[in-house]
Amino acid sequence: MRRWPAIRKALFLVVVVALLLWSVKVTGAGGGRLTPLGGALREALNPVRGGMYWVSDQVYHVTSYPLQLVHATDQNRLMEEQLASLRSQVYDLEEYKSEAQRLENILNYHPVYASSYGQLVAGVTGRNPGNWFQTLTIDRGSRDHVGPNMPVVTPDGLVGRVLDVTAHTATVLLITDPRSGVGSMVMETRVPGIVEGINSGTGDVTLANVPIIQNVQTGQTVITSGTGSLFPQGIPIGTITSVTNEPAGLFKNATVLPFADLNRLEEVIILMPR
Amino acid sequence: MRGGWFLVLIIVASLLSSTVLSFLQVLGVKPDLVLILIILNGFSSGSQDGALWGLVGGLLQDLLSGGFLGLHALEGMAAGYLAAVTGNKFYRENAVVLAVSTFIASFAAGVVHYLLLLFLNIHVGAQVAFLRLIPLSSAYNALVAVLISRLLAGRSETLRTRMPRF
Repeated sequence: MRRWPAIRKALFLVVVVALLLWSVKVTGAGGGRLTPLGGALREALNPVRGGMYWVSDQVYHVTSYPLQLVHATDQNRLMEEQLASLRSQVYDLEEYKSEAQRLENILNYHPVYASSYGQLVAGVTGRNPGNWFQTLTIDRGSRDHVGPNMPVVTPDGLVGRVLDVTAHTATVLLITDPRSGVGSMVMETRVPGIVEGINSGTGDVTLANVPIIQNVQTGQTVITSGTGSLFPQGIPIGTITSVTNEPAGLFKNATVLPFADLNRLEEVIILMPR
Repeated sequence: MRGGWFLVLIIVASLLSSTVLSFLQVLGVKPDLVLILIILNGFSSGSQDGALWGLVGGLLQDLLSGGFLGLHALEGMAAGYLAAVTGNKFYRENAVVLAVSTFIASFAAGVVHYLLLLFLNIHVGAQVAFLRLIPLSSAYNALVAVLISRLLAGRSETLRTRMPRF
């Protein structure tokens, strides 16, 4: 009789764990499904998150600027004296210049698949809070006709695809996320493969399972192949930085450095099928 | 509103993690503020309370980050329980003990997370997980936990007495 409370606690624990496992499995179908309550919370907190992200970005720009000067030459050190008095103005001008350049790139972005896709610019308001997944939160949602699986790019290259949406926000699954797989090919040799996210920490992705007899070399460019229908053909993904043979000897893997700087995204373009 | 402050802290921590901390990554890893709060709370709780508040905090993080409802809840439950067990056995006011205990609880939470990803058929390379993600984030968490505990020194007793007991 004295063991009843312990047994009851153990049973309670088993039931809770089983329920949570079931919940994880159900909501995880399709790469992570957004619950209605989760969607409402995200909607409510998005303005706060967006503001915090913007402030963090500005602080990063300002604080990283002096770090760049640490590696300057003697000549630069002399120029720093003059620069010091103008630094506050330089911060502002650099920011405006950077913003203007990004917006100009976006306006000039006319890819070959433009006839099949409309383009919608979105601002980044947050990133996944953990270390295991690589996602972004953006400030466009179903009110802007954004839907799941729409490709997301920058003028530099592929970013990922829309994972889920609320009315005013969407989650973008980056190509570096371990759940991501993109049908792709080597532009120069047309060798097909799948670009997989490996969460390497260096921002690299892997072109996996390429038959060992295929010609894949460092420096070649990887683009989307168009197979699998999520991504149109021809979106640049990145450059091959190394090639390794699998231990079994039948396939080789290539490490690909994405063209888009996925760690410092401020605006992205959503490709919306016409 | 018993325990409401804990939920508010979890929300603030989650917001900070998705914004500010993204700019403080070291080797692609950032500290997990929500997990740190769960662990610090676990140190001053019984094992049952530590586990249940870990579950509550993790569940809230799941709701805030979207998808996989229960993933962080299970991870938080394990971390909260382990933190409570080690917190009751060792002198947690010592910074080294606090750091080591946080590292162990974070590492265990990382292993639970990895196993749950396998359960979901999401494959993160074992090398990436066990040689980089888990140890690096655990070390980062340990460092930040010591800093937070120093900042909260003196207030911890007040916070602890406000936590409801299950």
